[in-house]
Amino acid sequence: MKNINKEATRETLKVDCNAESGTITLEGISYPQDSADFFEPISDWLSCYLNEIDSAIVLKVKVSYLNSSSTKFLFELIDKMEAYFIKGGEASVSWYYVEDDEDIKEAGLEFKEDLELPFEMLSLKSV
Amino acid sequence: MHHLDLYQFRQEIREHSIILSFEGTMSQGVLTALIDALREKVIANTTDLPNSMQYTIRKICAILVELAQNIQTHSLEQAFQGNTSSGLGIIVVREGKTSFTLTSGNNMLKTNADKLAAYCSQLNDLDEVGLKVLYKEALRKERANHSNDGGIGLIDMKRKSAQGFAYDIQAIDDKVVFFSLSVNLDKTV
Repeated sequence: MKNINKEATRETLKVDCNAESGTITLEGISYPQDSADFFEPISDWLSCYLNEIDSAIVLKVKVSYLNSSSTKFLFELIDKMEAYFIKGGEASVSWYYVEDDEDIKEAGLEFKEDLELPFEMLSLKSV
Repeated sequence: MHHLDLYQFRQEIREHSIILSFEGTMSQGVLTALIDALREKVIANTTDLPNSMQYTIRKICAILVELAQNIQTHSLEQAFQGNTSSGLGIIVVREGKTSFTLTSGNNMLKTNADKLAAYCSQLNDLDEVGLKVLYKEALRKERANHSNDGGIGLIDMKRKSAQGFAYDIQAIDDKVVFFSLSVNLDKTV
């Protein structure tokens, strides 16, 4: 399957979906006009990976701003991984936040509290 | 064209403490420019910039994005640029001594506006815990096919603002109304 590599723009995330390493990395800020258009290829990639490769998957989230619809799409990705984990698959999330960024920290914690899959909160020093 | 008294217009802008306003098609390019302008203006209006202010600026920008994208998606008046349709509306940001007020307005069908008003009123009645529960429900709710509208933008704004929404409906004709929505953000939040 084909990996996804997208550079960040002013309103969209840097995306790296790598089937060899079993990782999805999302980085930056996200408020596209059409969130569905942006996130659906990532969601399709994840489904394809879980079906065909059927191996460990790690989602690394290093965002500094998500609008509400991007948050919803990100949740759908994590929810897909959660279903895979509950069926016995290996899946985990690493959520990075700058130490004084309460909004992103809080968003991560709110996701984490409803999930069973390993969800790691990683604080970064502010620059 | 009618004569515009620019001095008078400027006086009104100053009297209302308007630091940013835009009327027209809320394209993504416009939104990005508005965020830049707002950030610059808030920083320029502030002599020293403690961390808490950075935090406030990010919150104002987040609310600006939600309001602008509501106009993009839900305004009854839409304009095409290439394949992308964006709604028309107005956004005004005012800065008082202790708080910012962001107000957006656009045309809507009366039936939709009534539903939106009821929803805003429902959100105003909820406390933090109730809002969090509703937010999580909205995150889990199935989206309509290929839709961006998670319905969570309003909950998100309400959670960021310590105060309730203020909204107003003005009839344009039998079916169409102008809906305006105000969100307040305390500077000390």
